[in-house]
Amino acid sequence: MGDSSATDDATSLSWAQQWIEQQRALLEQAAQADAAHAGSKQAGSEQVNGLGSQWVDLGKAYLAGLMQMAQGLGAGPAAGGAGPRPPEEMLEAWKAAWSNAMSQATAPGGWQELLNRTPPLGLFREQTEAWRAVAAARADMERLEQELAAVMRRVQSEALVLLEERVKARAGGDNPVQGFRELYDLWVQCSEQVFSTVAHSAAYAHLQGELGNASMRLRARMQKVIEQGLKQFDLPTRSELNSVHQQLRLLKQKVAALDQKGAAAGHGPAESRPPPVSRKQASTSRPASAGTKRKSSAAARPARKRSR
Amino acid sequence: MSTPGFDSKQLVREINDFNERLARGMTALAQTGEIRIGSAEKEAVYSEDKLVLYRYRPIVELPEKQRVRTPLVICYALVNRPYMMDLQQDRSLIRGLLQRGLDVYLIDWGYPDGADRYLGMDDYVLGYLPNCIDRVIELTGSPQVNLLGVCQGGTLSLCYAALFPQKLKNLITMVTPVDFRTPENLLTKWTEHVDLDALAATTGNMPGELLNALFLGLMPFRLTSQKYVDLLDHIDDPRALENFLRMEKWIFDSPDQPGEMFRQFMTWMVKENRLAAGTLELRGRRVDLHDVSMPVFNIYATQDHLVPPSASVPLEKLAGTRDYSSYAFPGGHIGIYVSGSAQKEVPTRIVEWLRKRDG
Repeated sequence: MGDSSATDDATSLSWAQQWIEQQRALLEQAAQADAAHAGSKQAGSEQVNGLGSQWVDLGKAYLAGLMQMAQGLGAGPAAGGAGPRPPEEMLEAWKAAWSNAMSQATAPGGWQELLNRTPPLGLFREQTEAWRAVAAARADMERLEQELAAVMRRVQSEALVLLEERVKARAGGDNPVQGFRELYDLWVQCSEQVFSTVAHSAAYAHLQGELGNASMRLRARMQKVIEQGLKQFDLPTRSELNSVHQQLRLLKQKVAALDQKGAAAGHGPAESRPPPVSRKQASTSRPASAGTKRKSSAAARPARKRSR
Repeated sequence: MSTPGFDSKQLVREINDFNERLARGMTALAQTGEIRIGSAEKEAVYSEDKLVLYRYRPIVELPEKQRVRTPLVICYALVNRPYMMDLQQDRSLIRGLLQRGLDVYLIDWGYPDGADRYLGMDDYVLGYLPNCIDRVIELTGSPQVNLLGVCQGGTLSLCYAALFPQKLKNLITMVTPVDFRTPENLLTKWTEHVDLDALAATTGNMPGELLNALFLGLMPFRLTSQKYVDLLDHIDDPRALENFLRMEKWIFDSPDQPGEMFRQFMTWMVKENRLAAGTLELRGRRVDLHDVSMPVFNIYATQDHLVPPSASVPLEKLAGTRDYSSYAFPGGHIGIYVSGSAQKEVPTRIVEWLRKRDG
């Protein structure tokens, strides 16, 4: 009998262990997928760098051509031996000036970095700057999203360790895990336990806050770009609406204050005026249905409106 | 030591059973149709901007002695919809109060939109709420009202009670945060590093969906996964399924929060804890909880993960009243309204407490 129980325990442990290993494999796949995603972004940035490098190569070829031309001029009779050689000196100066920039540009990721740091110029200066700000904010947010995803993977990974311990402890006692549902419930319990510890930590709160702020930055920068577009078509923007709403609120407060003053002076408060009554306001509501905000039936008693 | 035998066929059976339930679940869900919400009849007695003040129709005729003469106004939170107070016939705090002879009014804040984004706490505490209470006083002829504040609505009610104590006969707070800086308060911790000014500036109103995501994030495995797996256990019970869907509707029917109100509430109350510190000012008027002089009944839930008891309990020391009572309900933030035990326990305690203070 004892042997049979031991076998049962072992079997119970092995299928649960298999499930845990499957979850680990899935977590590993998720981590790899994230890494691949980051890699594809890197590839995009390499494309930009590739384009930049082509420009650098073109520039180098152009300078080499100029150099050849200058050497040809320098070898001619007008050059006359040891005198000044302006074209060559000029080209040397150009070359020195550009080689520094190009060496930066040809470093890994350098061209994009160089472009990002170069202030936009010309007719579309403002638009370029706004779009660049969007790109930078997006990159920042995605970086933080990946950090958060890594934290959540860590939570899940630690939860699996805890789950493994509990499954073993129960298999060793008189309460082995009997089925998938039980295992799943135990997994949720372990996951929430590990997550709770992480969620209460200062580091997690900081990361959450940073991610929230980064997403707000991205949103604000996108709003700027969109508002630029709306203005092109003479359409109202959120900023304009905000301005109107602020003015409206101030006006309402002023009206309410005037009402109160009037009431205090005995000119009759706003409340004593006949209230505007609509069917919607003066309704008797019966139990509503999901999907409807509010249902009304026939008027029973007039509702009143009042200004504040 | 005897060990329960392990049957590998059981696993197969379990998987098959799960699949069958899943298939039946799909059919059952497709057949549920429209879910009805609310049970008690009510009528609108006042409206202002998006808010509507309702009076619930009495459902019993009680002898004068057993009635609570002072009307009760329920001030719900801006988060989620107030129909949680009257979700269905057998899950309704309001119905429980009506059955015990209370005259019940409820403030429904509505669904704020872009035009409401600059509404501040002062608009609620010094505008909307006083107007509703004045209207009830005017309608009933009662010189005072009883005020029941729920969650964030409780916090607003405390501010009102401190500023207009003469208007309130009694104050009841339910799952109401007062001290926002206690160690158990996870939402406070998560808010710590958030730039709330930028949040309000870029989102305008705080989207309800964003708040929902935040609430789900407090217990992500339980609330986004296990809850739905558990549903399969009741998939053959149409009533249980309907109850589940009704709750689901309530949970995700989240109005947006007026941006400025949200910014002020989160900054002043949550981050700076001004209510507990006694440093809150609205339009130049200091909100001092020592001025809450009427009897106070503070009801909180022992397993509340949104408003932990440690956030509610400090009211006893902070409020100026000499008549303070509390009730620790054994359940969670939602269970206090919808659980079976809450249906009898909570309204009974409220009405008994009010009856003793209705003279």
